[in-house]
Amino acid sequence: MKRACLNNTNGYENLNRFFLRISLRGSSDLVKLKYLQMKRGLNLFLFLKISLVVLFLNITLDNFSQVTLTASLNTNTVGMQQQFFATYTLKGGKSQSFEMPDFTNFRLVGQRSQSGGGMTVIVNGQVVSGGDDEQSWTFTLMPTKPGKFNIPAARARVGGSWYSSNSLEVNVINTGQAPATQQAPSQQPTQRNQQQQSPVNEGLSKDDVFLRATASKNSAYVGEPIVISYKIFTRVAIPNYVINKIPSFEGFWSEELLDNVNRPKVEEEIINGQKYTTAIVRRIVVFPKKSGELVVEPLEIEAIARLVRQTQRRSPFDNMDDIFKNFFNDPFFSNPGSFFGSSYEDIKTTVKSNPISIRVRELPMSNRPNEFGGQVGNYNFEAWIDKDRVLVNDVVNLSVKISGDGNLSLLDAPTINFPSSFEVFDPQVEDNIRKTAAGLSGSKTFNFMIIPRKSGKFEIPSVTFSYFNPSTGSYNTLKSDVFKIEVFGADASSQFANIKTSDDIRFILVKPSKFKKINSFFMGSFFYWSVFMFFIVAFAVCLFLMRKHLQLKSNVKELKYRRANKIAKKRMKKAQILLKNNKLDEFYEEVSRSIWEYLSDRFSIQKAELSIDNVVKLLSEKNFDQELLLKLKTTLDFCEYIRFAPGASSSSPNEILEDSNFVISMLEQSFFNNNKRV
Amino acid sequence: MKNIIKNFKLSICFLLVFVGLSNVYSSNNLNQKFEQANQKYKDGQFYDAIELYNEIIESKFVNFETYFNLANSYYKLNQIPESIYYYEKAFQISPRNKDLQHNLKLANSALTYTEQKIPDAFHVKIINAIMRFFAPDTWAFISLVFLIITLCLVFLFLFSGDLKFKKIFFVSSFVFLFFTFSSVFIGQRYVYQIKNPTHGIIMISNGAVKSSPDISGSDIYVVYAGMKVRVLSKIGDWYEIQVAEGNKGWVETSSLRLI
Repeated sequence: MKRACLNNTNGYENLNRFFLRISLRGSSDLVKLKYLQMKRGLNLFLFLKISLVVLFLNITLDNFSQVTLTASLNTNTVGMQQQFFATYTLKGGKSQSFEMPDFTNFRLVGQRSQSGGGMTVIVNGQVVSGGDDEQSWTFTLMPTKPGKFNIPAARARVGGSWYSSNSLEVNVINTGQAPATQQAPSQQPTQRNQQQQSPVNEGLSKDDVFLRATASKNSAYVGEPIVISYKIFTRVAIPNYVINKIPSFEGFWSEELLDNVNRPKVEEEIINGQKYTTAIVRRIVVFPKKSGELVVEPLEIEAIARLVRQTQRRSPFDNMDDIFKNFFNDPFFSNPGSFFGSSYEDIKTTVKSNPISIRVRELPMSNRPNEFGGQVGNYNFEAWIDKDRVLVNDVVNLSVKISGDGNLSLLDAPTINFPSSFEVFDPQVEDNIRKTAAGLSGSKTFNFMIIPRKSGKFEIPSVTFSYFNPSTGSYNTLKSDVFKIEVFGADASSQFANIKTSDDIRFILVKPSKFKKINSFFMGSFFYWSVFMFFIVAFAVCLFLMRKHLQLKSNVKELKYRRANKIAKKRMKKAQILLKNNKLDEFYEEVSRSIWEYLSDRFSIQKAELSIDNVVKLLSEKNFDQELLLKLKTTLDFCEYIRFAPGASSSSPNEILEDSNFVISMLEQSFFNNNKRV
Repeated sequence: MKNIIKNFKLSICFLLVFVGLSNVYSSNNLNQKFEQANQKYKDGQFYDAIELYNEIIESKFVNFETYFNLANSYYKLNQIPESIYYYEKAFQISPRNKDLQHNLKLANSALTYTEQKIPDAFHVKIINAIMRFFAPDTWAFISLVFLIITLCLVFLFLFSGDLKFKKIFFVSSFVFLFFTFSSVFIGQRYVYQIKNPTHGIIMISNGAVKSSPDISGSDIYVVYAGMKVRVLSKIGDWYEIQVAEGNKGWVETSSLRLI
């Protein structure tokens, strides 16, 4: 397409149109054009200018004899962190293309081209004519390391041949003193700041270009779609931009929505009384995967801002047309002469969007249907079968179509409880998902191929689909009809009819045992060991007490044993006194008691066990003399007898007393003899 | 003497009751929640049931039935790894419950991979088998009963007059002393195992096991959701695990739940 471009004049739109017409029609229309212009009443100055341009169209430029390309620096010695300019000036011709030198060891901060006040018409992207024979390119550079560096030659093409410039030498010295700027190269500050401080680039401020991220909602449920839009706002022309860093969307499932990323729709917006050109560079739908406060990292783009020199009395508002023309279209530095007669500067600038934080809520557990598979959105649901009367081994198709807005990509096939004699294959899935500015929508169809293997009437229970509707905050369950299928014909061989004997889990336990604290056990607890120790201590105490008791008991026995004879003798004396006082009853009693007590103490016989027979038996076991025992027996017998039948005695009380004394002393004697023998 | 024994008995009773009360938290609230959850389960509202059972567990007071029913609910929703996790939890409390064994087996068979038992050394296997016979606290009471029997036998041995009985008491007191120590050991081991989990259930599907505890480590093999693995050590956010085949590797802590 032929195109005429005028830059030196100040915003005369119709002129642009005229030139277009002129270039198309050529010189033959000159008269007509003049006529037209006259008719429109344009002033003479303009008329002359136009004629001049029209004239250029027909002139072939053959005056290239003295083309020179010279390179110069504003300073040969620069400090670190100090900007300097390399200027390439072309004299004696117009360059169709310029090849910039290799600026390794330097960082290219900005660049601008300038042509000397003349006019250029470009046809088919070619420079056809030039006004003044001077053109210059200026590069703003920053050293990256100290030392002596060589900047190789730049080349410019003029009229089919290449012209090289001289090479340049720069001495970079390592001084921290940077009078012009303060930035450290390692920090990579935004271009913007640099431009503000730079002596030449006074243009780009923070408000000129910025990126704004907006989310369709700031609080959402898990799985709820959120559309995030990245919008660029600019007051300068952006010929090109590159997305530097796309957010990773951690915690989200994301899908890009805009497929016309390269040609964004341009709009105008007024913010704080300033007119901005805006365009959405990215639009992404995200689905939160987990609950909590999730943050979407900022998007970072590197844009090239084209600043038009302010020498041309243009306010940013007047630039609007250029912005539109050049917005995202002009590749970087492809046609430096397009603004002929003007100068512009391309500045690389990095703009970052704001991070967005989204509060993600967990889906409610209450009333959650069992079929719920994590779908959040708004859906419709259909299910159908293609036939309900089939032959055995014939194919029935059951289709389930789920349509609506939401994350359909993650939608799984619904589970259907088919009769066990149906063979069912994994469903075929048909996706029809549209990406719109509002998010994802569309439909997903699951085709189940069913082969009945047995005849009869069957029912496929209704297919259910549950989703969570975030706008109402509740779960919805959609149900299909029950499908009745009648199957005819002979049953297939048993190998197909794999009757599923589904074993189900046992029912829940309804009677709760006691609730115990988690991980707190009696075993090994302090109480356990206390009880354990308590038993042991109690046992020890028991042992001690038992021992003591036994000891005491044996002491009493010993005492009694030792004193048995003495007591007996004492009692005998008492009996003698009783006899003297003629108290016969008491006398007999005393005698028999002294014998019994002696026996009990001496031989450790319990009083309850004391009887004549027992004593005789016990003593005869201990090898006591039988005669002695007989004597003992008769004495005891007599005592008993005389107590109950007084006066009927054959022997005198004195005899009894003697006998008793004799028996006790004899027992004592034989007891010691026995003990000695043992 | 009789008084002493009487006091002794009384104080034991008192102690046992006291110990029992300190461990048992009988709350109407929990019972009520349990009833509600059961009702939700019966109504087929498994998500609601799960929420209620989880509330009980969050109160830090649990019982076997809560774990069991919660696992059942997960099973009904086909969330097998969670279900296995809670069956295993219930298994720790009451390993010999027949319903539990049946359901756990079914849950394991519902997994996509075939379950393999993690092999144990022979003596470990036997000790574990004996250990699982009773719950830890049952072991505690058993050990106390054994202790009492042992002490009684020692007492009898010391104070019995007859030599023949003395011999019997002597031998049997040693036997019961052994029983006491064994039951204490087993119970302690059981509690230790529960408090220091040695196994875990993989909760993520197709988790790659790394060769080193680092995200950049190479993937050695894959573990599946619901898989029971042995946990060997922990470094940072990584567990060293060992699967049934004996392979070792590292997984992130988030992909595993200790039982």
